[in-house]
Amino acid sequence: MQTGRATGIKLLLALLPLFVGCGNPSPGTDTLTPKRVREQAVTIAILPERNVFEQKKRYKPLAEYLSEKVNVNVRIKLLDSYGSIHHEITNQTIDGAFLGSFNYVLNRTRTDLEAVARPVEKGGSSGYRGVIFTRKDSGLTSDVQTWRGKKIALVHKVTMAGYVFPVWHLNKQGIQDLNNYFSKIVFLGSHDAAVLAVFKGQADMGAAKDIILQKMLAENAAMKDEIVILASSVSVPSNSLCLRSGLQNGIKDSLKKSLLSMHDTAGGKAALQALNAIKFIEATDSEFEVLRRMADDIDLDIRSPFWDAK
Amino acid sequence: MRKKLIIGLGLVFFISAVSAIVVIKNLNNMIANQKLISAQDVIISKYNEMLFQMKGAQSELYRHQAGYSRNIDDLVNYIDAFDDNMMFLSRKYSSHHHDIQCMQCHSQIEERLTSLSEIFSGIESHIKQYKQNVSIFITTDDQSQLGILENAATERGNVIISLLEKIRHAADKMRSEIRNRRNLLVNRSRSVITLTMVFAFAFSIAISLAVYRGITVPVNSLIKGIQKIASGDFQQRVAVRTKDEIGFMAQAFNDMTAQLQTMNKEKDVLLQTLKEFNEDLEKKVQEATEELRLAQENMVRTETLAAIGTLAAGVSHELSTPLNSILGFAQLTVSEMDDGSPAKGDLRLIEQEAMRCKRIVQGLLNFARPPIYEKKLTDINKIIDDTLTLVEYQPAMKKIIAKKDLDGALTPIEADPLQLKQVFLNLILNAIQAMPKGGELQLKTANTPTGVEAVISDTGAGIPEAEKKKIFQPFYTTKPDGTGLGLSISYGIVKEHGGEIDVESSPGQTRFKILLPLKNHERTEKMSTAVASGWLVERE
Repeated sequence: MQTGRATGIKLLLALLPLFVGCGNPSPGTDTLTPKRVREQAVTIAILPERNVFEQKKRYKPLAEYLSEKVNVNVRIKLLDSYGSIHHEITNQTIDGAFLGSFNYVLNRTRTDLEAVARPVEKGGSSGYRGVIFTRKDSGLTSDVQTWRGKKIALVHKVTMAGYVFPVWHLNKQGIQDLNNYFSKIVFLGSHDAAVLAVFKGQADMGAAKDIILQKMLAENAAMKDEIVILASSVSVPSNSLCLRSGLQNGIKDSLKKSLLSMHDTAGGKAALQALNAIKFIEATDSEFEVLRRMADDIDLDIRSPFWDAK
Repeated sequence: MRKKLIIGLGLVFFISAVSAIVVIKNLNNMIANQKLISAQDVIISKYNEMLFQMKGAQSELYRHQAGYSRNIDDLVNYIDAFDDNMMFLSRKYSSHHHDIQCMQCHSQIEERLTSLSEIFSGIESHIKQYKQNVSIFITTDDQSQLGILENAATERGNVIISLLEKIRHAADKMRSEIRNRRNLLVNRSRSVITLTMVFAFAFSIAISLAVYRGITVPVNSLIKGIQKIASGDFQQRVAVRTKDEIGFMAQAFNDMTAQLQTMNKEKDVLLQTLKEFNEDLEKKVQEATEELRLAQENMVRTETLAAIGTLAAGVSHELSTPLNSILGFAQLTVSEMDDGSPAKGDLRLIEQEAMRCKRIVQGLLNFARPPIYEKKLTDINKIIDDTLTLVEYQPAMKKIIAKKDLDGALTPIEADPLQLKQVFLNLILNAIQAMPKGGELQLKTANTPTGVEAVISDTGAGIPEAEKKKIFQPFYTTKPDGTGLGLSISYGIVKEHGGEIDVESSPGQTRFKILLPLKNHERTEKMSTAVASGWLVERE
């Protein structure tokens, strides 16, 4: 009897594998998590300082994190131009924006924007520099005389690295009229577009943020060997989150608090990773004085709309 | 039997399991195929979405450039969604690379996936460039480049749309192939499942019947054997050759039957012996009873004869004198009467009857007082011959054939020849008288272990059974002029010689058998016994 039972169990065990693993594996199923519906919303604009798709990819995790923490639907709005930020703020179509340092200085004078926090890069820096660069084979040097008659690719008039610094640098070298000094000045709207234009030979030289240039050089080995820096500015505060002063205090404080503490949470770290940052620190208006001085140096009236709205 | 059950149930279970596997396998294949179609539907819907998204992005791009909208969110969202779908499809296809099961279902899957991968790589490359172009286009202030950038972005978008339509067409084609294959598979699976179920059912029934027969046939055979043996047929053996419990039972049963058969034979022998013993005992009892009866009869007869003898001796003694006087006076009177005297005839009748009475009285005297025996060696054959000579001239003998079968080597015996001659004469005369219309008289002698045997037989009417017991009694006679003393006297003579006389009779034949011993040692003793019992009266 024992033998018969053991044989039966062995037979069952032998047959068991036949019942499992039959058929093709089921196609992968994507689980959908329904989005939480929140009554309040905060729209934060992102400037097109680099490829807009990249910008969205960088800031989307942060928006999701903040939405969760503040319990407010934080949405990202991509702007097609640096210049449109004033219009957006004025019309209250946005509640805040990650603004470049000079853009903040400009808008601060005309709107109720105030800087709340800014990221600290992985290297420990929480600022950036403006750089003027060219291709190795362009024959250009740090001597601005070699730049005469060249085509220069800039970003936008409301950027420190992409406009203010080159003008300031040339002014310091005694060159006031850039339009006549260069054969052509093009504003490409983003820093990476300026770098690409130089790399592709569409421009002889360009100006952009050093952190964007370095990132592009790191991602493109061919570009790294081709691009050389001719001049660089002092460090200025990196893109800071600026919020409308009229924004509900509770939300503004919550947003600030969440940003300053996000490096302590796993979700916050993941969002910081997408931004290539390690944490956010508090931003103060005084840190932007250096930019105001630069504007003064080149007689730029930061209260007037000197830039094209596009 | 248990082994058969286990094997039978095991086979049925195995067939059921195999059938279940086949059915499950086919169902799984159908389900998997249906899932493939669903997955393919999802893929095609993704392609449609991507086409919609790319065309939407192209429209947004145009609207932005034409100044209809400054909002680039929709444009970016279209491309982002396009990217997401792209990643989804890339993961989907990469998961099918080197998938053996996929390769089993879809021929040339690797080639197709490789071709798809190339197209996807192309799309990815184009979309990367497209995003770059779009990004620069929507942000640049360089009016001289706007047209170029717009054309570049638009053309790249069109290339992407073209590739997507191509890839969607391929996906549609693959879906059609999967559907066709699904239809074939469903039909084939339906047939396989039906056939499997039918075969499984048939095999299960067959195995169940085989197990049933494998159990019931030996059991029935065993039951029939038991019933036959129960009815007494110990030759019966159970023909079960299986090596299981029933076979073991059958073997044990056959062994038991063999033992029963042996015991039964022994019982039969014992019964036969007992029966023979009973028969022998019964025969002996019958013989003893017959001997007792004969002895009783003899005793009765002896006592009767003795009483009659005593009576006869007295009566004859008393009657002799008056009879002599009657006879003498009757003869005297007759002699003195004239021949013509009317009374002379009557007197003659008186004389005759007196003579007859005298003979009777003489017979009684002879019966009551046997003559003195003079023993000597006597040849029975000679006595028979002499006696036959005496009767040859009887008229009745003319119709009778006398046959003698006398033993030439017959041993002479000690006996009184005259007495024995009277015995044989009585018997022969009785035989002759029994055959008035003729017949056969047979005389036979032979030696016996203790003496001689003489048989006198006739072919007369025979003696009725009721009379056979009475013929040796005195005065019993069936003849009108007989005295009824002949056989009684013969009986007494034979007994006197220590012999036996017996009669066997049936219609058409009567046979008297006389056995006589060689020497009559018991004569004196028997004589004394006879005298003591009063049967014999000493001669005065």
